[in-house]
Amino acid sequence: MKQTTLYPEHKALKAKLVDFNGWEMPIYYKGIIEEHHAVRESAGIFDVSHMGVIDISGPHALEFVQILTVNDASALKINQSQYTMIADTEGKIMDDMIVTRLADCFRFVVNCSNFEKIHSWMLINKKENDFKVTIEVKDELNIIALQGPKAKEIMTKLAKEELVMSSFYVTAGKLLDSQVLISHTGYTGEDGYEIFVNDKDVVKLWRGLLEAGAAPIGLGARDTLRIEAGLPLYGHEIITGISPYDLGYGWIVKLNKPKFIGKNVIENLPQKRRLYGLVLKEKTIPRQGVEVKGYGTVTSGTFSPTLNKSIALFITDKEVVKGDTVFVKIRDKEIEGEVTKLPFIKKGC
Amino acid sequence: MSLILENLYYTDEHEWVKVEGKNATVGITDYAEDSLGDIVFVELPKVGEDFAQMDQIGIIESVKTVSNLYIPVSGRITEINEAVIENPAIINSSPYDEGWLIKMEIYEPAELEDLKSAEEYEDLLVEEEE
Repeated sequence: MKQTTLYPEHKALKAKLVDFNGWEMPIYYKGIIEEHHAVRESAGIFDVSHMGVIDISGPHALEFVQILTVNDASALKINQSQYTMIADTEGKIMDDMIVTRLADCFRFVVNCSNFEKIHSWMLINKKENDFKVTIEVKDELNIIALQGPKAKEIMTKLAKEELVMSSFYVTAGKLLDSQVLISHTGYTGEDGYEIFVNDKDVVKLWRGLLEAGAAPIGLGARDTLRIEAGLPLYGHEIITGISPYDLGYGWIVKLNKPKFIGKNVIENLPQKRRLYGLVLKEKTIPRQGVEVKGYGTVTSGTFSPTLNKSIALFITDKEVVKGDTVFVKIRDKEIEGEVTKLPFIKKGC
Repeated sequence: MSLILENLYYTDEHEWVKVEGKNATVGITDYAEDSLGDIVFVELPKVGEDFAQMDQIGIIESVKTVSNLYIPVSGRITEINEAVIENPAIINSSPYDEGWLIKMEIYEPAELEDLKSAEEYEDLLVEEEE
């Protein structure tokens, strides 16, 4: 299995490690629920260095990114990021990602499970269209996500100055005297940052963040946090046959762009389906694949530590409104649930 | 290393059995609760129900996974721990004591011979961890 540079730190913290798409990653350190609360109430750090970082540079970089992605990268100012997706020629979503325009390149951060697929897709398209671009995989970069209401306070401590950043912008800076790139983004529904840091500095930064009061958080709580925030995940909500419109992300598809791969299919898709939330009356967990009777299936389900209830996401083309009663089938039992709007929890950020 | 108590019987499914005459108390081991992680839901049988050895009698669900609960020996359920249904986290914090799951009357004491001693259970954990 592959390991991130922080692997020995996870071992030292006695993390419970699992095989996550070929990476040996912490699922939790002390417990999913405790870590979840730490992020909602204070601050937590996640090693997300297993995600793939790919930089696109060269004279055709913008043109290449425009053809590849559904959003409009030409609208990006330098140091600005956007949520986007890559579709194949049949309009199927291959992955979702954040793209950032840096001074000399476009930086893609892709799901680790899709890294090889996206990287090859880039190489194929470069070759077929003879784009003058350099596709560089940044293996030496680590990503630490710092998330939670105290994230800003902790960053200020480490940067020795107040961090003034808009959401979906990056800034180069120094944390504990190491050169890093700080992105004001996250995947938890909390305020927070994702920090790009080199191999040689990552351990020092990780330890510094812990000392400053952030709790180490595993992939278990990363999942419960993103489900509460109603954020889609590739392989769960983002699956074959599901479009950005179905997920409530129609706004990222810029049909006024002259061309992007999959456009001819995506622009003709029916826009009937929507992603909804579900809160169960019992604490048994409606996991992915569980039937929502008459409506479809659960795409993600978990126990919500914030609500102290079991929750799920599901996609349906049927008419449902907030407050409707639905039933999920778990182990031959029908359990009542109430339809809710997303996100499950609203935070002031 | 997970905690194993000397005076108990154990199953391959990581349950412990404390025998007192014809009666037994059953729970899941420290290793089991630790493998499951935060437990959020427990389904237990009804008092008075009869079961044959290794019948499924309940469900233990954690944030990350679901696991079945089996009855270690044939018998009748005499009591269930209502406290763990209310607050399943007790199983994580006190698997051998406050986190017990059911009490039962044993029908066939000879079936206890199918179970593992603390020493044998420790060997099983060593194997599983390898």
